[in-house]
Amino acid sequence: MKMSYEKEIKDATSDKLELTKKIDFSMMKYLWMANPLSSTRKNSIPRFLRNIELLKNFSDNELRILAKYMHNRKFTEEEVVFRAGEIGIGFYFIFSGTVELSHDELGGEVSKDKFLILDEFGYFGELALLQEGNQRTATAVARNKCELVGIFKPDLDTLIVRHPIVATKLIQSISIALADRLYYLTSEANKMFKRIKQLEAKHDSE
Amino acid sequence: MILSNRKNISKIQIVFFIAIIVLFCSLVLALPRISIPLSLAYILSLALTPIVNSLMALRLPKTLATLLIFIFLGVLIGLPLVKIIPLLSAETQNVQNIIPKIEQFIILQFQYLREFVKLKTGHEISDVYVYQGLEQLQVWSTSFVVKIPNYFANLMEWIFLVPFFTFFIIRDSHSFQKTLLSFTPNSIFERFYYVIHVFNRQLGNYFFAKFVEAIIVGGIITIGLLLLDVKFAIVLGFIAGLTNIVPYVGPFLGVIPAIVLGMVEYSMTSATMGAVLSLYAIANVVDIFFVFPFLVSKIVNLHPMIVAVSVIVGSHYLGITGMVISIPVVAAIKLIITEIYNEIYTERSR
Repeated sequence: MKMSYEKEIKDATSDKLELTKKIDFSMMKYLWMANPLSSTRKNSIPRFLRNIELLKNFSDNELRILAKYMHNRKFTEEEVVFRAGEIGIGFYFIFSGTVELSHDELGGEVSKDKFLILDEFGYFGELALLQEGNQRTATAVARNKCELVGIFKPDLDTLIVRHPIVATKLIQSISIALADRLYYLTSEANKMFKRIKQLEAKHDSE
Repeated sequence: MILSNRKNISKIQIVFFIAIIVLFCSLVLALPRISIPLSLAYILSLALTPIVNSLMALRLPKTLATLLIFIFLGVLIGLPLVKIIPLLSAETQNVQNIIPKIEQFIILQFQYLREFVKLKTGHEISDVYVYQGLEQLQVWSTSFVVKIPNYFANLMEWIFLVPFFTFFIIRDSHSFQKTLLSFTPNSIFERFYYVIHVFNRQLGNYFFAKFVEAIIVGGIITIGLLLLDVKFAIVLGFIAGLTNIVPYVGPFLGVIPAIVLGMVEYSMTSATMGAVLSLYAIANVVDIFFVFPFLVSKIVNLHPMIVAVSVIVGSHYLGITGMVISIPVVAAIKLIITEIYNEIYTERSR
């Protein structure tokens, strides 16, 4: 004989019988949602971006908006992300895997002197977002199977008109990194200039 | 298997990607009943997206922003429509009364001409052609009247389909684009994204400029006709604005109803007719010298000959819709060709 669940409980309690054990769905759901391993992809990109030093001035909500405008790209081993000399429009963060940046003096050939290896939480190609008709100065190759999260010039254009604050913060972050690099380069150049002057003086006195 | 070989994967990706694009394009071309409202909706969405963007900058969610625009447009178009429909049916009655008038007018004019020619040269012009032409006109108009329910059904379909498509294109174009990009092969990703971005931007700018142009021209003509106290001023102004979207041919198409109505209501030599014609001329001069150079020509930089050819080809395949979309499509094709040219001749040969 079929009864409703409520009636079953009511009868059971009135007869002082032991209640049949049922699965507690709300508790199951809570445990499932709270599981750190089962986080959905939607959440994982903002969470990944949180760990990047460059984006530390973003709030959580701003990172969520930024993540909506980013693209996931999967690369297999030895696959080229971009080549030196190509026109670039993308700025990439490394979600997983390793990317190798190399000089490339011999046309399209990737030369042996690798100068930078980046892994998780690293980023590259930021100049492409700021420069008009940016030409890549290095070649980027995936060293192993890797996943990149990229933001591209069109996305930045859309962000500027739709979410001006997020766009401003992104440009600010990149500018800070670039300004630091420029400062470092200027001081290096100054050092070199002084050294040249010293060498010239030494040469003249001899 | 071929699929399991890792080295082939990028080739397979490209083939898959091209296959999807070809499939989509052929579907669009094969089904004009879908593709015409779809392209109209796309054009509308391009013109409306800047407004959605500025609403989103005020921190409104996208769906709400889109809905607000639709409610606003619905009120803006719906309210006058309620008033216009009875007016329009009355005007159709008027037109029915006017058609015999036009016929009489043509016959009368022809008789004058005939007498005039006979008086001056002694020859008599045969009147067969005129009566034949009028008969043909009658056949055309009856067939048009017979087909009206058909047109009406199409129109009803569009009235529901176009806003429906427009709403979802505006709301979801970003996720459509993201999905398309997600299976774009890595090797062409950045270039492809750049090209579709420039394509959309160019098309958007073009139609935004064209809508502004149409509103300016239509506005000048409507106000002018209202001041001249000409019948059907609003309808004529609306037609003039709408036809103005078609390059070169549009202004001439726009003036035809005014000439026909003017000839019947007034006469070819009356002052009102002259004023109406000069009003159209002024509106087009304003358009050619003040609106067009600042708005449209900076966006599409095509040779006039290419423009003329593309309008003809467009009208051949897709009718009026084809005439409207031909210019931006050709501009986009030019852009893609330039991009490929740069890729082949400047990048690799460096």
